[in-house]
Parts: sequence; structure tokens; C-alpha cells
Amino acid sequence: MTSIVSVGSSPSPILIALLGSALIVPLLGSLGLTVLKRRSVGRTRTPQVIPVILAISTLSLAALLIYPGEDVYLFTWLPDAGPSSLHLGGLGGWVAVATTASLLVGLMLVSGDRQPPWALLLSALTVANVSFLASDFLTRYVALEILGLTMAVVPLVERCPHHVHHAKTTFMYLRLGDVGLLIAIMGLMASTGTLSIAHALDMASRLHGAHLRWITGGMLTAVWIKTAAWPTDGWLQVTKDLSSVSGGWLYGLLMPNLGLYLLYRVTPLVSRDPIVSWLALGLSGAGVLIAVVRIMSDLRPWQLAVSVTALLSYGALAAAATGHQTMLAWLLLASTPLRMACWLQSQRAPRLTDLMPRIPTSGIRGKGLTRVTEPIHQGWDIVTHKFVALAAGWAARLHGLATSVVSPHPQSARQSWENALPRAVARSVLGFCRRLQEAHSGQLRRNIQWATLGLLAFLAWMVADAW
Amino acid sequence: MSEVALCIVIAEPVAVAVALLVLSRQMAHSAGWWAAAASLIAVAFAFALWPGPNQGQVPVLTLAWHPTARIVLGLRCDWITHPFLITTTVITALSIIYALGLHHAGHHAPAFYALLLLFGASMSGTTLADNMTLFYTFWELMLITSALLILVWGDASPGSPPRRAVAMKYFLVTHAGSILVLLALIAVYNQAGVDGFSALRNGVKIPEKMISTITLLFLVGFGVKMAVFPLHVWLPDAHTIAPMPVTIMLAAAMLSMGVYGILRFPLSLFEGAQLTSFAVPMMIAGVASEVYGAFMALVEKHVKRVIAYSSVSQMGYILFGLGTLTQRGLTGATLHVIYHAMVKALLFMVTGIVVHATGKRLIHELGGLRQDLPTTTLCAVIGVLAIAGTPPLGIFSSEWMIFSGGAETGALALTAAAIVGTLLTVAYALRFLVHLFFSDVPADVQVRSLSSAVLLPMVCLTVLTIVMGAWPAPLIRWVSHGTSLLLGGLR
Repeated sequence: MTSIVSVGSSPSPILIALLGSALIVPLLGSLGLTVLKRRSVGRTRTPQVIPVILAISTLSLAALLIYPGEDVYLFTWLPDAGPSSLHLGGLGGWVAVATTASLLVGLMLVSGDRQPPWALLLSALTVANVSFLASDFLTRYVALEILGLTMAVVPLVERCPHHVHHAKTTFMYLRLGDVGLLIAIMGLMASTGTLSIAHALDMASRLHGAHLRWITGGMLTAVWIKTAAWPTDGWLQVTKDLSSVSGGWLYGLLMPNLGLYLLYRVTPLVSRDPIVSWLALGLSGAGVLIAVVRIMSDLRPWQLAVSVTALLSYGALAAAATGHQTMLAWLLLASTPLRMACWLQSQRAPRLTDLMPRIPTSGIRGKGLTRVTEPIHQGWDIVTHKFVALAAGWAARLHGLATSVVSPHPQSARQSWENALPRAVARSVLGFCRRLQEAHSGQLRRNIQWATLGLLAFLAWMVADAW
Repeated sequence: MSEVALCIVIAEPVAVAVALLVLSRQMAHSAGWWAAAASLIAVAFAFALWPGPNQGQVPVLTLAWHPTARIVLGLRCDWITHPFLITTTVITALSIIYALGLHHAGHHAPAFYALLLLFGASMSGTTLADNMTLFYTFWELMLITSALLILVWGDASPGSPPRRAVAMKYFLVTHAGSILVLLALIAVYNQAGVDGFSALRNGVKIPEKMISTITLLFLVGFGVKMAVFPLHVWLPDAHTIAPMPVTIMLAAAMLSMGVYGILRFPLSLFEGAQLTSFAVPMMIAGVASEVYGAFMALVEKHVKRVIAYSSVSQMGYILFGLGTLTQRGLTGATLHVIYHAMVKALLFMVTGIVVHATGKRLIHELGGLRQDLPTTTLCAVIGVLAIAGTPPLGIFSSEWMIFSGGAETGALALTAAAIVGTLLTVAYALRFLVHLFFSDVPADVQVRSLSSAVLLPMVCLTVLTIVMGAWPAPLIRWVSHGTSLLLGGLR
């Protein structure tokens, strides 16, 4: 199957037109804005074409809901992975409508505020809707990765404070979630032989043991990060420096919705394994406790919105752990407009930040609950920042040792040993080398020849022995 | 026609190289243009070989050289050869065009370009050779020409390691690997009694206990050329000191010769069942190389070394894919060779432009170059996103196939480790991009103007990276023809 759109057995022109206007119109709008260089960042007036595009997209997506259960095959991208396809109807379609409509409503509410990069937001809308509707894991994964990249570019284009740091943080965190998702997809693909989401999840529900845990573990990691659950909410903290719509809709609503929808799809797997189920319940309970403590101790508006988003994801995780898939679906749909309102309110109230700084609540503080979470904060900080540097340092030492073995320079070889090993060990090793040096040519650089000869002798012995 | 093309791909660059050496005075000013033309002709003839395998007619050239020893020199272009041949010829041509813009060679330009052509021809010869004698001859020629290029034209700026020492280290370490390959070839020849690959393809009886030894020798020998951890020790210095066009050829084309060797020998000679004991160790070694290389790239301060260590990491992905011994894994690994060649050449070209334009080599001395070098910044962004495996750019599809091959073996923990390792790739790639182009501008950075000959190959590679990534299906089908012939026809 090549680059064609085919719908079930009888392609319907109306359906293709609706799909085109739902997905292609925002993309064309994005391209148009980019090509025309209508840079809306910093302006206070929204380009008039944006509400029109969003209205067309919302209405088209809503109209697509009348085609429940229809599969639309797009094209085959990787020959081995089967055709990329979209599934119409179902919760994915509803969430796509709700999320697109939220952007339209948000746009109306924030007129007069700093304008976001609309070209990027429209691209994000297209890939997010593709992800909601995707019926195969490859399409969904690719859409999520592209969305993560688009989100990372937003702070750069908006030129907000610390924009480079924010871009890096967003990309790295969301990529970590994608890593979890990719592990799960690989596990599913290996055990079920298909990338079709419905078939793979259906077949995976018959899996047991370690294989199932790899899959659910990977999926839950992805969900945990995409719903900005603590402590992987670093990417959501970026919202404080972004424009209202970018921060509130793109960061605060869209990505968490994708995470929650993913959780909805894998709920049967999560609730199937008692260990995973109890673990998810425990995590959600701990998460709720932490969120409550954070809400009590930090009353800054955007921080409250972060905590509310996280609280919702803990609730959703508890619903998934207990197998309440329908409850999760309602939670996702009903909370979408509420969360949008919450985010816009927090973003529109930067003046409150001065009035409501970080206020430690005496009761909670007095009981030491915030102190309980402090070591976890620090531990996470070590993992995310210090561990990488530490491990890289050890890798550098290892390299030093490896280099010194074949280094033709006596000085650099010696230096490498001294850097790589504790002083006492380095001294004894160097002493041994010096004696070796005196015993042979007197030059350490010759050691490589001896080492090569030794290696060859060893190999010759091995070969002779094998013969 | 195909047989003629087979000969011309190697003979034409060699002939131009000899002419450049002999007529060096007369061709002093036009040497680069002659070399560029010769390398582009080689590319055209490499593509001209395509219809042969596609129509089921594999072009072969033979010459009985030593009848008593049953040594018949032969050239052959089959499905396994062709992707590597195209990769090496294209990279050679782009490197030579890039060299034109940098004016690297000064007064010795004819010799420099002649050696570049010989280096490229030796890589083409290695892939086209259809017998062990010719294979090893080209294999060694590849080493000699590249070592000479490092020795004579290596970076002699203050603070850099002496180029003589680096060239010696490069020669000795990679030659040690070559000796292991030679031992394995001799062992195969002793058992089979012939040195032609065609005869070997028809099946030879080798005792089981010999298979392990031969495979180990091949893997370690070719592993040195691939520069996987811990056999990579020659790579960082050689990549740093070599002149930029040579670095590009080393990283983007020569490393892939190690992969070709593994595909051509252990994986072609033996069946999957005979190599099962090597699968998990290869996958573990692949993950180790991936993680180690990425960590080193994360802490290196010299911009060329960052990209150099990235090669160690990327070769880890390839080794992991080869270790899966599955069709998906092998196709992914071969695909990764092609994508890695494009992206690595692109990133080294970006690095070369940055070093050439600013005169600075350390990452903390550079910054804010996006304003002065906008085209280079755009190409760097694409290169960095590609090496980080971001869809729809090329490396994503090869990594997808490598990881799905790993999962297919049932080694989910190892596959998960390899996938988690990709985060480190993202980390060092972002560090490179942000430090060079998006951080604050250091006070003393002056940017020189650039020749369009430097920008042209870089832009070409950027476009190729985008197009071949967004539309990978033809490439995957092309590569999977070859990998379906491996491991005794594969499972």
C-alpha cells in the first residue's frame, strides 16, 4: 500500500473531505503562517484566520464522530510495520474534539494577551489529533515525538526567559516518556506480532509475568511523564514563562490529555496484573499526598494549576489500577474544559504572584510533611542532574584507562593512570610500569608493541588449541 | 555494461590519483576539481550497477591470479555490497567537494587529493572484492592511505596531540585488528581450500569448534574498524587530528567497512544456529558501546571529539542490531550504516565550518553562532535531531528496526537498555547544538566568511537526511534484499 487514503472497503468522499479539513486545514494554516512570516509572537492581536481554522477543524472532527468504528488507512511508512491508519469514533475522537474546542475557547478568552506562535500551535494540533485518532502504535509514537519536538520549540520562538533551558527540559522530559512508550511498543510487537493498537492490546491481555510487566511498566512511565505527575513535572513548570495559550493549552492541557488517553487504552493491562495494579494504586496514593502537600505549601497560581493537573492524573491512575475504564473516560472528557479554565486563570493572573508568594502552611509544615518530600526532591535532582555528570565522569576515567594501554606517549599514559585510579593504586601501577620500562626498551611507548605481541601470542595459542 | 561499471568504479579514481601524483606540478591548481570530477564519475558508475542485482544479474569480473592456490581475483556487486558501495562513493565525493572549499592541502594539493581518491577507491574495492586476497589488499590499502593523510595533513595546532603519534597509534591499533581478520581469513581458506566468496557462499564444511574461533577473530578484528568500545581507542585522536575531509571519510564511510566485514564473513559464511552463542554478547557489547560513547560525547570539550565519540555510540546501535541475528535487526543495522554515514558526515561538516569560521575548537569557547552562520545552524539542527533519532528523520527508522529485532529475540531487558541509552544521545546532541549555536556569544569570537563549496555538500546532506528519512520505504526494501541472503537465508 503506498501513499493513498483508503477507507474500509468503500471510500467515502465526504469522510475524506472531513478528515482533510480536520487535519490538513490546521497544517496548511501553519504552513501559510510560516511562509507569510506573519510572526504573531509579541503581538496582541490574533490573526483572524486562526479562529476560522480552529472552528473548521472542531466541526470536522465532531462530524467525523458519526463514522464510529471506521478505519482510515493513510499510507505505509515503514514496510515492516504495516499501514499507518486512523480509527474514527471512540473516545479518541471525542477527546480530539474537546481538545480542539478548548483551544478555540481559550483563544476567545485571552484576547489582548501576548500572542503565542500560532504556526507551531496549529502544527501541534494536527499531530495531536493524529495521535488521538491513530489506530497503530507507530503512527501514535511518531505523532507524540513530533509533538514533543514542537513543544520544545515553542519557548525558543516565544523568546521567554530561560528559553533555551526550557526547550531542553521539555524535549528531554517528553523524550523520557517516549522511551517508556517505545519499550512497551517493542514488547507488544514482539509478543503479539502486530502494531495495531486494538489487536495488540487485546492479545497482550492474555500475557503473563515479566513480559506483561515490561509492557505495562513502559506504558505507565509514558503516562506518568505525559500527565506531568510528580516528580516528572519539570516540563510543565515551563508554563510559567510562556504565553497563556501556549502554556495553558499546549503544555497544560494537550500533552496531559494525550497521556490520559494512553492510560485509558492500556487500563485493561494495568488492572490485569495484581502487582502492577497495586503499584499503580500506591503511586497514585503517594502522588495525591504529595500534591496536597504542595498545594498547601505553594499557592502561586501556575503552581496550583500544575498540582491540579497532577492530581487528576493520580485519580486517573487509581481508576486505571482498579479497572474503571469508563470512569477514566468521563474524567478525561469532563475535566478538559475545567483544566483549560484553571490554566487560563492561572496564566492570566501573574499579578497574583506578587501577592501570593510561596506560603508555607503552618499546620502541614509543623507536622513535617513537606520535609518528608524534601529528600525525594533532592533524590530526583541527583538522578536528573548529578548522576549523569557522575556517570560521565566515570566513563571518562574508563576511557583514560583504555587510552593509557595503547597511548604512544609516556607522559599522557602516565597522566591517564594517575587521573583514572586512586593515588595509591596509580603509584603501584606506575611503579610496576617503570620496572617494566627499565627491563625492556626504556620507553613506555614501546609497550604497545609488547602488548600487541602478547595479544598475538595469546591468539595464536587459542587458534592452535582450537585446531 | 555492469561489468564495465564494476571496473570503472575502482579503476577510474585510481587512474586519476596516479595522474595527480605523476603530473603534480601541472595539476597543482586544478587537482581538487579533477578529484571531485573523478569521485562524481565513480558515484555515477556505482549507481549504474543498480540494475544488475535488481534484474537478478549480479555483475562479476574475474581474473585467475594464482591457479595452483586456486586464488581467482574477482569483483562482484550483489545486494549486500551495493548499499555500502553507494555510501562510500557518495561520502568520498562529498568530502572531496567539501575539501575544495576548505583549501586544506596547500601546496601539496595533488598528493592530498590523490590520497583521498585512493582512500575512497580502496573502500569501494573492499566492498566489491569477491575473494579474500583482494578484500584484504583493499582493506590494508584503506588503512595505509588514511594513515598517510593523517600523518602529513593532520592538525598541527598548539595543544593538539602530535600528528605523528596519532597516526602511529591509528595505524598500529587498526592494523592489530586487521591481523585478526587476516588470521580468520587464513583459517577459512585452510578449511575451504578456496578464497573466492562465490565458492564460500555455496557452503563449506568447517568444524564446529573452529566456527567459534573464526567468528571471534572476525568480530574483534572488524570491531576495531567499527571502533566499538573498548576497541575504539584509535578513533577519538584520529578523528580529531585528521583533516576535516578525512575525518568525514573515516567516520561516515570507513567505520561502516567493519560492519560490512561482519555481514560479509561471519554472517554470510555461517548459519544463524551456529552463531547463537555470539548473539547476546554482541548485543551487550553494543549497548555498552552505545552508552559509553554517549557519556564521553557528553563530557568532551573539543567539538570534533564530541562527534567522534558519537560514532562509538552509534556503532553500538549497529552492533546491537547485528547481534540480534534477525532479519529486522540486520536490516536495521545496515540501514543505520547508511543513515549514520549521512548524518555523521553532516555533523562533521558543520563542525568543520564552525572550526574554520571561528578558529576555535573547544565547546565553551563557542556560542551564539546562529546569527552569523544561519545555514549551518539549520543544517546542524537537522543533523542533531536526526542523530537523536527523532522521527521522521532517517535514524529513527533504523533504530526502530534494530530495537524491534532486539525485542524479537526475547531479550527485552537488553532492548530496553538500548532504548534508554538513546536518551544520552539526545543529551549530547542537544549539548552540542545549544553550546555552539544557541548559547551566549563569547566576547572574542570572530566569524570568517565561507566558500559556497563548503556549504553545498552540507546542504545536500541535509536535504538527503530529510528526504530519505521521510520516505524510507525504498531504502528499507533495497537493504532487506541483502540481509535476506545472510545467515544461510535467514529465519
